[in-house]
Amino acid sequence: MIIKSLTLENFRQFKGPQTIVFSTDPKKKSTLVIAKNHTGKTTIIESFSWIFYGKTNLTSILNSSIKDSLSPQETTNISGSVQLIHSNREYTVSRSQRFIKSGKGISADNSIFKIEYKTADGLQKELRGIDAEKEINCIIPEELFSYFFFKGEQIEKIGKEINTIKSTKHREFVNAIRGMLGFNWLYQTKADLKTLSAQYNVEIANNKTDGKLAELARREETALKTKERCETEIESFEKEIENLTRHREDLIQKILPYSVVEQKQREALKLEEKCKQLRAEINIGRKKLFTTFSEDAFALFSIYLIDKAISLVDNEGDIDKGIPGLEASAVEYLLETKKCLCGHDLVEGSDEYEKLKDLIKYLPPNNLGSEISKFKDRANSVSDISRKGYDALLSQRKSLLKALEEYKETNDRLKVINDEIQNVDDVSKIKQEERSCSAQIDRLNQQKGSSKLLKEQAENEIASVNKEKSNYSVTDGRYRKILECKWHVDALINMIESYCDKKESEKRLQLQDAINSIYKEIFDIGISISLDDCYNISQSASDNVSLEEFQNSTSQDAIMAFSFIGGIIKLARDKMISNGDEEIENIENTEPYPLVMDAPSSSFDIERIQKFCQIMPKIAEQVIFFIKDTDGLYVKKYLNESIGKEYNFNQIDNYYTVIEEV
Amino acid sequence: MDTNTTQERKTVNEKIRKQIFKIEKENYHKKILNSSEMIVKIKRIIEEEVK
Repeated sequence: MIIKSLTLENFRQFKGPQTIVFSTDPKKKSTLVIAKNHTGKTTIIESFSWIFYGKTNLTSILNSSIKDSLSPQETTNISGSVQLIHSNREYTVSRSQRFIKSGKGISADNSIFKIEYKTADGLQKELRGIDAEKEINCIIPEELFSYFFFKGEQIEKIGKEINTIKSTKHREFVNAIRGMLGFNWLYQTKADLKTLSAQYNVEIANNKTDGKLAELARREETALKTKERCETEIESFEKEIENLTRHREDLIQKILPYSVVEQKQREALKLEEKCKQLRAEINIGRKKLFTTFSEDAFALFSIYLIDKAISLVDNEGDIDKGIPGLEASAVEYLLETKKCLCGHDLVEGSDEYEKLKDLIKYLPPNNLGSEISKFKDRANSVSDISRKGYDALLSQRKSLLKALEEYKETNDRLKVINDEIQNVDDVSKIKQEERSCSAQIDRLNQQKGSSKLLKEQAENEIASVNKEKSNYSVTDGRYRKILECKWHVDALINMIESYCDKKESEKRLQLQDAINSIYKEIFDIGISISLDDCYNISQSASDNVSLEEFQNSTSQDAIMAFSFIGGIIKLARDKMISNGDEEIENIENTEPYPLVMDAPSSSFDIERIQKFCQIMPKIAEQVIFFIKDTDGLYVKKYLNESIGKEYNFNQIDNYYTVIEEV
Repeated sequence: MDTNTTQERKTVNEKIRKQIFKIEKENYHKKILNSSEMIVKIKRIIEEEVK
């Protein structure tokens, strides 16, 4: 980075637009600004920080006279821009901020930061926001800003910090130094490759075919075996079916001529069945008849006698000769008194007497008529019951006789048929065999169907496995390619890491040498400096020097700071020289850097100022010194030929400084 | 992997490296592509070289 110019407008003392054009002449690379105290030297350094990062240690950046002159609601702008060259490209880095006066005082809007540059094809490009912030950190890392833009009062602090670099931002500091040394793009490449390697890891995990092909091979083998077994089974079933079909056809042929006999056989079978049923029926009928007979035998035998008794009673006319309402005792009384009711005497042995005596037989309680009537009723009842039993017995007997007769007829017919077919083959057996044969064929056909189904399933499985296999072979191809790609990515990462380690360690040694060289040139007191892996500095003294004597010296800290940053600048601008590294050649970017210093010599004696002024222009591509007027003459004297531009700060009043070129 | 293949791999790796370094270095200065776009570009270079 080389700074071409700085323009400030209303920034602290620098009212209105004011510009410093810095020398970019390689032979006259120093720009010298001589100014009194409090005229704006530190403000200039702070303005760079404000323009680049929006940060400043100043309490107020708005010009005080402008601030005081603002009317309520009136606004004003502060702006600053830096024109610089970085990586052979010209940039304009600018920041502006609007201020407004309100009832509460002066308030500021957020500043607007932008970077403008021209692309390789000549197009104007503008970056804002995060893109602009990233870009400025590539041009000049914020962590290293204070090393390139020294402020007098901070030199000792920086020197101490370098001596004991243990700040919380140390990682950023180390990265910034690496970037300055030209490794940044390579670290970016490594970061990109690492991301890609991680992406490949995911792809590898997604495309992994481990065990899948073996599993498919197992599935295919099983399916092939099943198919083979099914084919053998189907063949065997077909043979058996063929044999059985032939046998069945033979049986059918055998049966055909015997169709009549078969009919008779069927009839015989039916008759046999019928005989069997009739025998059962007769047995039941007999049992029923005997049961009925044993229960109703009395009725069977008594019915005739009862009927005859009823007939006799019916024919007897004397049984109703009694006088209604008259009892035998009344007649006996008359006979005893021997006087009739009419008063007529009853003489024993007379016709009247005898008639009355005879009448007693027909009068109650011993009158025969009622007894006979009772008897008749009972006889009729018994007769009814007996007749029913008799009828049932007759009916059962009739059924039994009918069954016996039918059985006899059926049995006779069966005997005739059996006689007719007794010498003929048993067609039903043949038929039975034919049916069994047919059933066997059906069963075998079912088994054959199952085997065919299994075979089809096995064939489908084989087709599916083959399809999957072809997919996997595609996937497998992709998988192998990813593995190979990842190998290349990892190989490049390893190469960059080992290269960077090697080169960085070389660079660190070179930096250490450069720091020691600068340090010795300015302050040769027998102290040597070494850098560890994290760029931490440690000092060691030669035998006759006491380290403690210098460790708390302000000038020693300042020299340490200048040596350190001088060393970095020296290395950053040194072109990479190929020293046989064939793997990577000329891959590093190198960049010149300026040294912008505010009152660098304030803690130096004249000898140190002289050496400092002689060394720094040799190291840095551009040197910008802001010197207070008391040191100005010495610095001007010792910088002498390297001065390309010279300025004075003309203080008009406390709030207004004018930059004047000499 | 035999010696020939290893040599072949090295040759491919060298070709990949040259291309990647060229675009990374170029992009570092020109800032044309962001990191994701660069990774896509690098991936394409590698997969074109790896047959």
